[in-house]
Amino acid sequence: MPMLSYLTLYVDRLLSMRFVSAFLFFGLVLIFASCGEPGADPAFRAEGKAEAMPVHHSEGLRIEKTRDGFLVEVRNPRDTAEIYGTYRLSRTKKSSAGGDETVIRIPVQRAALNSTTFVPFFEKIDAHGVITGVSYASRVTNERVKAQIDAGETLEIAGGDGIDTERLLMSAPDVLMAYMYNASDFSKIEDLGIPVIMNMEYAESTPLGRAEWVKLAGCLIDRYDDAEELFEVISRTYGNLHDLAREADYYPVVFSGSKYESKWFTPGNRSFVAQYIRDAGARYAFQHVDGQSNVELDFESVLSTLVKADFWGLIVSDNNEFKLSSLIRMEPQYALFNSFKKGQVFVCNTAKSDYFGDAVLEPHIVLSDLIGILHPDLLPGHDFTYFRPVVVDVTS
Amino acid sequence: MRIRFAAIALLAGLLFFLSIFLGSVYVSPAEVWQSLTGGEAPLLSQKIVTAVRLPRALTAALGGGGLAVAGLLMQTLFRNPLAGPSVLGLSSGASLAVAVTAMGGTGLVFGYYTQTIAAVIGSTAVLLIILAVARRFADVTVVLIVGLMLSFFTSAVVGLLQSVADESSLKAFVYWGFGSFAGVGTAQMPVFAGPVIAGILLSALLIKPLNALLPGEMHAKSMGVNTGRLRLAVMGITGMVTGVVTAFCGPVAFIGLAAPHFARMTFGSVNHGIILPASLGIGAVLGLLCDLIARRPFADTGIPLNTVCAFMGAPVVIYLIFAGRRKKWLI
Repeated sequence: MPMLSYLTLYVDRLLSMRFVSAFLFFGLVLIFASCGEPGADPAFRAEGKAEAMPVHHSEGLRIEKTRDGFLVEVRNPRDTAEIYGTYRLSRTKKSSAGGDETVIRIPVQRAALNSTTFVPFFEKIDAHGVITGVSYASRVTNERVKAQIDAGETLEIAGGDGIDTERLLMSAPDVLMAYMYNASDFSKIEDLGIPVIMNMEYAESTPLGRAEWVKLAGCLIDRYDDAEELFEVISRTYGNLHDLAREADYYPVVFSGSKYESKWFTPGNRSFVAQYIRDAGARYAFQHVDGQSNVELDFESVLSTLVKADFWGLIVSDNNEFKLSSLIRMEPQYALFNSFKKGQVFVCNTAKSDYFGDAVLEPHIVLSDLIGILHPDLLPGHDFTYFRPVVVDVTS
Repeated sequence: MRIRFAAIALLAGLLFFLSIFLGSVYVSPAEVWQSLTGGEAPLLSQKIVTAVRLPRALTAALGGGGLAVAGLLMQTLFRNPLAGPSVLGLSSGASLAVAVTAMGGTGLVFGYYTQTIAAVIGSTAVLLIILAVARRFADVTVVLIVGLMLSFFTSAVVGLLQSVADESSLKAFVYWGFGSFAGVGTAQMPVFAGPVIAGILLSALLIKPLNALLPGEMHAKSMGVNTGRLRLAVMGITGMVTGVVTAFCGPVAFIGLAAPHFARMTFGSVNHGIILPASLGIGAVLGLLCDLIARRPFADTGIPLNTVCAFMGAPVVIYLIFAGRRKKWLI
């Protein structure tokens, strides 16, 4: 167990206390005093032989291995001082929801998911049949889960009007995996005896950070090693591709987003989209726009940036093939962009690829698509999965 | 008259049971009955019936009834047939307060019940303004216009908050605005039901002075009614009931306005001894009925409660106003 991990964990715990300023000094003293003595942490002491598991990319996930399971702590990846929950995953204790600490009996046999992006976390580690409830069933593209939905084995637990408590109960989950937005209140569901565990992958600022949440699913079905192994393969492949992209002799400028009324909506520089672009050997056109999620900018003031940039990547949903002419039908002013004139536009059509599902756990494939588009010489003959260059059917 | 009261009670009872027997998943009537009577139904059915459907039906009945009583009190106090929680800006005031707590980044100052407290403060504040205006100007049109303008004003502030709010809190607020009787679980029931039932019971104490107020304030005073205190009592009750219902269920439209008119029409009377309980019963019926339609049992998705309330409420109110003018049901 590397010393550094203990130290960061320790500092994080201290920082999470409200009275940071008053106790920072004592905290520092304590850290120095406890060097070489990781057992000083209360959680470790209580567990006897607890061991912090390495989490490399995710900002919001912390896992400790305990004698009979795991101790998981979930924080807001965008503000790690904010703790969303501490969960004791136990092979012996009975599940109990609410209170200071949620106890979840593992391995869970049935899980309800409040987001379709959580589906691959279970399916890709072969936890088939575990998903008994999912939100927006019509948006699920995983074939196996789709078949379960058709057979009535997996129920739609939430749609346009929020969680349907009756159906959630009917799906009889051992746990509900949900995400926190604003101050979502799950106490009503916990009152029904269903433990709720937070999965904050969407708020992570890097693609690998999102994918690392597969370890949470691994803990829940008590197959942590499988999840870790899968993540190792993903992050190694991603790292190799990143190294490859670094060899590019030219870094094109890439932007993302689209226009709505007089605004340009774009992911901020700390979003995982910006990270993808940087990792694919390109420069993000809105590098100066601070933000982790979508930011709205005045169209006129960013027009020159948009006109000059080399490539434009966007996410669309179109049942037909999305072509360059489709863009001009959306907004004639798009014809001003250099990227448009040169036909250097790439899209991910969510009607035809599982960008909001499988892609979360396939960041290496997304990255290879981007490298294949931005640096075709580095990946000749690349087979595109999520992002692909648009068909150029108009000339300007 | 007894028959009519019995009919309302029967209808409310029927709808209450219907909403417990129907839901988005199928539970056999036998199992529902066993769950209600403590028989041996499967645990899952028991949970669905007692922890989901029962609190929801109770909320719909109490929320509808509470808003109806609040509407009646306001119509009498303002001597205005168009008064009601959603028309005079009370719901908007509560909405604004909830919007500030949900999107203004104030955080949960009072913990779990922030939203409830904020909504009560919001609706009472609007009521105070309306009342101050009503004291100065005898003309009901002025009061209505001020109420309407207050609604516009609060909507504008809500719009401003929405334009700067992040996507997720915006979504949460929009859903709250749709209205729903599903927001009260078993654990929250005392906090919801307590103030609403208290408000309804307290309003029963006001029957006599409210009747004295019907011909006018002068008449009430000559009958020895302390109109200042009465006004305060009505304000407190309506502010509390509207605030609590709005906090938990969103700004539920029209029930508070329509139910008292229904009551006056059904009983052909303006005596509060009759129309107060009648409004309560009819409000409960409307709440249960709107909720049942909004849920669309067995369908995949429901429709917003307020859509149903407006579809049913608006034409009904128009009819009642026209018919009432002719037949003198109106106050």
